[in-house]
Amino acid sequence: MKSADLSTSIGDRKIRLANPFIAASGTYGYGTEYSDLCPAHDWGAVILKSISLDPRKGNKLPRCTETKSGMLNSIGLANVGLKEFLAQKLPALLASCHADAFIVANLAAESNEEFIALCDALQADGRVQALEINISCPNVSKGGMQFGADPQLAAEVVSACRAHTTLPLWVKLSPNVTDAVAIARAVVEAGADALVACNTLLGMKIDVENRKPVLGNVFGGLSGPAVLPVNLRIAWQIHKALPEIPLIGCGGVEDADGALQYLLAGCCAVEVGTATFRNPHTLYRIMEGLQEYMENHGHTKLSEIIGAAHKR
Amino acid sequence: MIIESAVVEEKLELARNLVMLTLNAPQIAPQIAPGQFVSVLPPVASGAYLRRPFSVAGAKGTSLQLLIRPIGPVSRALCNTTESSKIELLGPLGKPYPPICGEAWLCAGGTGAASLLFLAEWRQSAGLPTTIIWGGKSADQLPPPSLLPESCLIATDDGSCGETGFVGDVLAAKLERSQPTIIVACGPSAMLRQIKDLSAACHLPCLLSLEEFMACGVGACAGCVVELAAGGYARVCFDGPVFDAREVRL
Repeated sequence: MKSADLSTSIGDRKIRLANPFIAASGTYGYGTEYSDLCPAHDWGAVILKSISLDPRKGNKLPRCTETKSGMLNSIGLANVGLKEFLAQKLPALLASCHADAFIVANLAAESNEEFIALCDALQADGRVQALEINISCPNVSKGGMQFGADPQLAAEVVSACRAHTTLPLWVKLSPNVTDAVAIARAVVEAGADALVACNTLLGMKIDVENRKPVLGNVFGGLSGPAVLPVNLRIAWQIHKALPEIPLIGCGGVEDADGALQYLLAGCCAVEVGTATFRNPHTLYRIMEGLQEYMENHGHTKLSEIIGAAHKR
Repeated sequence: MIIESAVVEEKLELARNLVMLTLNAPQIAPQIAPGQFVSVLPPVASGAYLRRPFSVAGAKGTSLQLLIRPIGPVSRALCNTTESSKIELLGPLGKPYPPICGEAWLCAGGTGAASLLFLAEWRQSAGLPTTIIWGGKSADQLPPPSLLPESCLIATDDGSCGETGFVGDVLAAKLERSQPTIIVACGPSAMLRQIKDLSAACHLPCLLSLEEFMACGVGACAGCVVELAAGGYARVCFDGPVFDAREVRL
């Protein structure tokens, strides 16, 4: 039997990805770290580590720890800053992968002005194909999740970015809110091209021997298999409320079953992150499993299953 | 960087709570150098999620050795493996010790210092003068004498073997009599701080091999960083694990 077509499109800007799997920001470095094992061109798209206008050192140590079925991180958006990103990191990635790799920059900022400066620079540079706006990092004191927890602030960030770029704008939402649909609606009205549901869940861990929080920052973002049901529920709610907006699932995917749950919930693509740390070949394992599922169920195109769980 | 399903060739219980695993890893073993590490996929029985880094204690032909003390779920599961068990490795990871000419004194603490066994063996086969100072809380926290060269100096906190005191104390006394070309150290951070200060006081070059909890092990996540003296952070897994002592803040 001919294998199924796993390509997918993200929205009406005719973005066509060769497969629906996207390396999640913060788990794929600047795109070269895994080039021996899972190069950028094998993914539908890769989203690089968050960049800010100026370099950021990140949070104090320890920055990550394991939990049951997952991990907590409080990296704190450590990054080289826009200048070095454009001068060093992006050229290194482009030299390490095929020309058809789909590269997305993830933007983090503490103010609308900073977001605008990042959009202006990446628009002018022209080497990344889309922007993911991070309004959901739980690990920074200014910006981050603050923007993503308030519909008004979230919309202002997206409007500001929209006015300064024609690149596709994907907005990564926070699961740490009471009503993710209200935020989703606000950022779509402000000009988002696609939504990502969701970033990490705010959590913590205490060392019972020394009776202190494990993370230097006390709180961190929970990721890994533990978060899948929560982020899936939010993706489901957003797709139900806003069925026309392209939705990218994110959180806890490590196999075809997890990826299929997001696709069936209405996501046209799925980000994979923490699972890559555990198994850098996770992408291939998920692709094989998805292909097998498609064949077993007689599907030839991904569009046949996207959102299928909503149909009665 | 390779993912390889390695096979346990030999499991030697060297002491109570100390196991040397020899693994057949024909792709990774020939490439690995002293100072580098492999990242182990947790065996299912461990219940752990993330890979764990283990420094390599030796490599010959298609085999490599890991020195393991059962302190966490993954190390306990590895100690319970049997011959012909399969263990998935990712490696080689990290940067090896740079070429070191002249006389080196290797200071090791606990069993985490497996990479110094590999370095010592490599140096001795190259005919380079090498002295090992190995320390632990007590005699049962040390590698067995069969693993250590006869010239090895031993220090235990409780005096149950060798001299009483820390590795740094033995090093300090030895530095009063003579000096090496370089000091290399691997072990707990308190020990590394003492040795960093001693080497600075004697104006001696010093390399430190650091340990940190790692998520990715390949430089992608910036989770396992060390603070740099010049400001900012470096990734232990990718920029290290071996650093010039002057460059890091401990």
